[in-house]
Amino acid sequence: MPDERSPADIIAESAGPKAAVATDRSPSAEPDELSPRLANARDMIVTEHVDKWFGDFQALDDVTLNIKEEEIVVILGPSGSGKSTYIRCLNRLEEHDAGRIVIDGIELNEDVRAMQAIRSEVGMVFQQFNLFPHLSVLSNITLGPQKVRHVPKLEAEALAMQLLERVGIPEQADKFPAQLSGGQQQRVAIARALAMQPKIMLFDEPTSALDPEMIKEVLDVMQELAESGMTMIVVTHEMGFAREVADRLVFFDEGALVEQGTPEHFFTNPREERTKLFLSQIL
Amino acid sequence: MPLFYRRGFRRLLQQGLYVAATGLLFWYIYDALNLREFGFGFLSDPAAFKVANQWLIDIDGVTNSRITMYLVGVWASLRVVFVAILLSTVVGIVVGVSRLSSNWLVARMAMLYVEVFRNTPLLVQVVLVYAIFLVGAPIIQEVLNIGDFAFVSNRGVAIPWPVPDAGLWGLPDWGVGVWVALLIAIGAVAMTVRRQRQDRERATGQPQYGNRWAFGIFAVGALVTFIVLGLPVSIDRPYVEGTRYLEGMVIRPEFAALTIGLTLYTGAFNAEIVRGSIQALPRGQTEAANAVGLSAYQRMTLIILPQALRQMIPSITNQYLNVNKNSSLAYAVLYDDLFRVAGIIQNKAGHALEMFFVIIVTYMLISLVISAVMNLVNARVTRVGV
Repeated sequence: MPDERSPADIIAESAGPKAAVATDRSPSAEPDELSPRLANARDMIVTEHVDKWFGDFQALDDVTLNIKEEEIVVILGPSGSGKSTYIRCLNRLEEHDAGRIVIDGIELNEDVRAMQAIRSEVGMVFQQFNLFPHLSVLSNITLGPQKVRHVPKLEAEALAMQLLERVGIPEQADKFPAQLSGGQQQRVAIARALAMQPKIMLFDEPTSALDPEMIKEVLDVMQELAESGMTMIVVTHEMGFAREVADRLVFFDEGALVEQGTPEHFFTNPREERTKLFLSQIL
Repeated sequence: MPLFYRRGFRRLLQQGLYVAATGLLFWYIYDALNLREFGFGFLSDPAAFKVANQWLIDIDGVTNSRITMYLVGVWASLRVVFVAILLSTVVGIVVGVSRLSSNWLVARMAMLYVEVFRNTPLLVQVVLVYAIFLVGAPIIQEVLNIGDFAFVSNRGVAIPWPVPDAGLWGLPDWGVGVWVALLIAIGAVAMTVRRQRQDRERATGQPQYGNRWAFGIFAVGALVTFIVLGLPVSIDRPYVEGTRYLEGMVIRPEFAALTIGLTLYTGAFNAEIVRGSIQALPRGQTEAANAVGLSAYQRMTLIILPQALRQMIPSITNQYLNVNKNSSLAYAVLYDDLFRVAGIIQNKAGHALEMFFVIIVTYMLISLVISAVMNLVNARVTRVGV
């Protein structure tokens, strides 16, 4: 069922009741001051009162969160808090059960065209890389552009090589994923997602499966990406990255959005007891 | 150090004992065979018996040698194995994918099929299908006539069959060969055009409709040969005379029972292999394919199947080898396969040892061919280019 309102309406509407939403929820959900550079940015992702159930288990509990264009949001929370489920709902790897999700003016609903449109706008990087093991590094990256966007082969390969240069491993183009280290594989995965020229990048614990010495090379790529103006949502436990790169930190617990604010707010003066407890355990 | 406790001596001793024991065994076999006048000369004597299958080679069964009759049996086995392998693969893929269906009824039906046919003996299934055929189909006097086109009775199903014919302009029989060669050449041209168009599609990103072009070229080419050459085969329609089918192609109940039994039984195992190989892939592969934006069909053909086939082919090959070996259950429905014909020869001529030697070598040869073909298939399907 296509939404009859125009994207602009949806955005205007979703931007409007933000203050109201904050008042009828716990005070911690009140949006804290944003980076000045985002003051006039439009909302890229709008999620309102999103619920998600796995059988009897409520994975997301009334999550309302709007994300600006070019904003870098880092999502924190203990395991099982719903942070991965939240970003997986954003490109419909999971279907939300209630509430509204609007990505760049397109509402996610039963309409398969909306899902297709979203998926080519939203890139995703997984904890376990999920490269295609039967395809070369180059083919992993060119597959999407060639098959979904119908980009000519030579053009797709040129783009793929550019992206491999950008993530620092052009010399690995003809190898297979299994021949690469974890850090290299994750950088290929980032290149694969970027090849679809997405407006939004989702990172689901991108460094959690990596050996410690490989974490930095992946974080460096992500930082460079953030500086290039990509809208990014990152689920991670890398506090250094969160402090340096994020515009906003969001804390999830038991499926609910507990607290959000700037890195400074989080690391100096968290408001909620649950946030304090979590940060004391992780820092 | 005493010699007996040296490692080198121990190894030498063990190997020496092994060589001696093997030598003794072979000497015994050689001696025993000598006593029995081991030899294959009897195979070239006249057979003096008939078998039901006369396909491929014209035989009378009286003057033909025993080895010829045996080869007729081998051919009969090969036909069953070939058809059962093809059909069981189709059944396996369809049922295996159905078991993963989100449709409750489809998934349960597939599961029921698998559990029934995987857990009952093949012999029972073959005999049951045969019995259903013999009891369920009408007797030949009350043959079911489908528009004078096909006939069904418990003697089998008779269908029309093409036979080579003299073509237009009084071409002799080999006109058929010319026609077939022309069709193959046209097919080759069509495939070349298809490949060129696919290459161009990859290079430019613009759809080039390779399949449509190939199909069009082949259809037009075939039509032209038909107009020029005429149809150099005629269709041989079957008819019933007395208690026999004449002409046409007769699918006998013995062949049908064995083939259907093997297909159902092996299909159930193949279905489990297909399901298992797809399920064994990490969920992340599906998710990554979705995240990249591939359609369900692209996901299946570009990501899931190429990887699942790698896992599937060794197990499926085992099932094909089982089809080959299980085809010897032809014995139960009196289908004249190689094992049954060998049994008849053995009854008439003795030489059981030689006959079993021949039987074993034949089955092994067929198995080796199946394995070799599957190795080629394996090498082909696991190579994927984008």
